[in-house]
Amino acid sequence: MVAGADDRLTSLYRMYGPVIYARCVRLLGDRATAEDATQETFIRVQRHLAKAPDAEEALAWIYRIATNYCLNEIRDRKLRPLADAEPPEPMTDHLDALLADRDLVARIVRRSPEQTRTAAWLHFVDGLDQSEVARVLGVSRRTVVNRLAEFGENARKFVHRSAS
Amino acid sequence: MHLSALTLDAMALGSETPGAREHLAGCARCRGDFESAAALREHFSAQILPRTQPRKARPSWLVFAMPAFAVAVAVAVVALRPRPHVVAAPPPELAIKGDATWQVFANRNGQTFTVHDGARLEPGDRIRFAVIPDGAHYLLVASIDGAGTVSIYYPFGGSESAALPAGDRSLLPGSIVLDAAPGPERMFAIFSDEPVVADQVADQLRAIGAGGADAIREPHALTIANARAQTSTVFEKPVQR
Repeated sequence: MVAGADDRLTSLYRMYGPVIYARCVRLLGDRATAEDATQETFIRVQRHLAKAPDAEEALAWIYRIATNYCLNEIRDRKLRPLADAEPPEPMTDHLDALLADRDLVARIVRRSPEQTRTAAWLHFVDGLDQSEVARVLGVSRRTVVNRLAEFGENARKFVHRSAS
Repeated sequence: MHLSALTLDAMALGSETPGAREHLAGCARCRGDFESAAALREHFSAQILPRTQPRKARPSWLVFAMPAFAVAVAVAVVALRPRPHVVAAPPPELAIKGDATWQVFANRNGQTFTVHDGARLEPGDRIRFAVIPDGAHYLLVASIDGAGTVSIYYPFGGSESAALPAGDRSLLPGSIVLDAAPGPERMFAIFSDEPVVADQVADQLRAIGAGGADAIREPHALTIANARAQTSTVFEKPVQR
């Protein structure tokens, strides 16, 4: 690897490492796993360093890498010891209100198809608006709308199955 | 509407979104998220970055290639780096044996959220615990706070562990309303097959508390002879002005 690439990666790691680590803790729920996830994220950053955008877009780009990695970890390694535990507050049947419950959304996201879950997590759990989700994922806002609509259908089915 | 995680993280990096600072000043939830993330960022910068950032003298970026689960990569890399997960990592939160674990929830103004290590909580927040006993029959939940006070949360005010409800997963009955004692508070869950005497735990917690706030923030494994597993979670309460 050339020195310039080393410098670039070092710079990205120092600048965005703390933010990405905090994000990974939020997604994965424990520090040791989040540290692994942060390192895995920057391994992927290194692989695609030539495509790394500058300045403000760099955060969104690394966000996508970290989010995809963590959601795959949650799916593959079942890092959800209490994902099925009942949340402490009573729930409502109204979908919009349900989707305001970040813990519940997190549980539904973990059961959702890959294509929709990253968009859903960013929107419902992390609170990004549709434009921000589109920016992070590098897709059109229309695509985000479609993925969120698909997630909404999955959520309805999940809630109905849970209630029956 | 609340600030998105992306907006909060961008703010942490110095990017200003119009109106975001004003929102943060008036929104407890967003401020809590921001402060929790700030504590984690500080932990990364102080504890993780120094031992994981790439070194130019090394021929490549192998320092990134050491996730604990990547065994094959670990074998190749172990001689080239200071093995951060073995040497420098804090004691595992599940410190003894078994897979019993818990999740801590907080409720503030009707909003429920998961309490992760380093979370910033407020006086009046209500805390509840959900546990996976993994075969353990008894549980003691105890804490040490920034004022050096030991509390027994489960069974509340009890002298020894209480039997766990039947089932693979349980939401423990009742909730804890946080007082205004500022600083860190570390809560321990001790799973066992026989009851654990609370005084045995309290003595160790007082010893931790005697070390001050930083000692409470550090992970600890208690020495409990008949414990099956233990875990802990630390949160912070602000100084009230």
